[in-house]
Amino acid sequence: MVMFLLFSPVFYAQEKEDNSDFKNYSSSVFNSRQVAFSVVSSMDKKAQDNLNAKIQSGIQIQQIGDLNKVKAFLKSNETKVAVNQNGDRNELFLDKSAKTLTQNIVQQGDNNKISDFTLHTNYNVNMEMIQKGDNQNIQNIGTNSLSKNMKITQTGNGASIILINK
Amino acid sequence: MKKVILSISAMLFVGAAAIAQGNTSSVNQIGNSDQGLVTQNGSNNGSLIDQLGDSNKSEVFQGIQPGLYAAKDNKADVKQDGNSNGAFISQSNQNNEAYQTQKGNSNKATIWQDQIVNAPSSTGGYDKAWQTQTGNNNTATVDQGTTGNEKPTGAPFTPAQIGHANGVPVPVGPHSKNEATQTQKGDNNVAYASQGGVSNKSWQTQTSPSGTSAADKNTSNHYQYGDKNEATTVQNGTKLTENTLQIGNLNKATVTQTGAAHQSIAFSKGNSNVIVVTQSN
Repeated sequence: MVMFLLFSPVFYAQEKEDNSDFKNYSSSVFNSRQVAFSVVSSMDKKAQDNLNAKIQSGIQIQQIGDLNKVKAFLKSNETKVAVNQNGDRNELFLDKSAKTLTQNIVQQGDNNKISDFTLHTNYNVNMEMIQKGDNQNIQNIGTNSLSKNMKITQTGNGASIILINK
Repeated sequence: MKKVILSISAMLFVGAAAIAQGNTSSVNQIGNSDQGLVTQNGSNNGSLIDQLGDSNKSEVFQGIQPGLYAAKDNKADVKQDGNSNGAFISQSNQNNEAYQTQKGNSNKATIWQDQIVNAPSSTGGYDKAWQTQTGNNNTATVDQGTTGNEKPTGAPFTPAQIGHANGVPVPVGPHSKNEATQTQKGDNNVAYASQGGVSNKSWQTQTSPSGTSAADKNTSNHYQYGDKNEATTVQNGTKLTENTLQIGNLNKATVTQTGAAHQSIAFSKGNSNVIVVTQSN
């Protein structure tokens, strides 16, 4: 009991700091380091519609900077993918087979990486992945009913997230 | 369209003019409203035109007075077989080569290769371009130039991307070893390549025998400005479009599309960027 009392203000202070960091986010928080935020959320119907409206058609890739890489292998009846990499040494590996695919990917900064692999799914996939900062990393494997409308946002430096969707 | 402005007062039915050493020209024409014109200035130019049937037309100019007749080792080889084909080759200084082969229907093919800045002594030599088209309403244009390469002006590229392209200094330095190979088969395809800089490469292959409709032709465009950029496109299917714009050095884009209704826009500005897109359904 004494031990609890002694340490409880410390716990409280920590909790308060974390809450203040993420008070603007309503979604799950996977990584709460002060220097990097990782937010994974599910897009509602309105957000999905907005995403579909934002990406007009086909594959649109823009890279500004040096040594950036995009490798996309896609198999879908309807594909709308927008990739924007701004900085140096950013990498995207995207390999997906889906019924329809609408995906937006933004990497802004240096040394960011995204690997998104789905062997096959029959879902209509709406997905958004945004990394702003340096040395961020997202690995997403598989697509299921939870992840088919997923949005991942990482900001700061050095955040990393691995999602395995069975 | 661009560059060398030529004044030809009268289009000859068959015309050939050559000045200075070692030029050769051979024109064979059979049937219908064929036209052939060859003008060569300078060193070891060679030209061969072979046209058979329908409203064919061909013009070859090699080394038109840049620095007055030091037109070097240009070659041109044009073969056309049937229907309303037209082919045009204009090559200026140094070691350009260009071959165009067309068969059937309303094909067009144009190649511009010129190195004119401070001609002739300071040019870098060697452009290469061959185009092969078989059937239907194909169009293929190669444009490897120093004095005003055609640039994209609008969609599908964004205004910001067009702004970057407009920021490329033109004329760029006289280039060397640029290459462009374009091969098309069947149904209303279009391919265009524009390269300014040194050692750029561009290959485009479109094969769609009975795979696309005339209203939604396959299209592939490459625009490259800088040094050692490389763009490769292979398309086979229906309603496929691809556009690549690369500004900088050592950028590489490879797009492969098969199936139906795929679109790809690849834009890189900077150095050593890589884009690989493979789509199917």
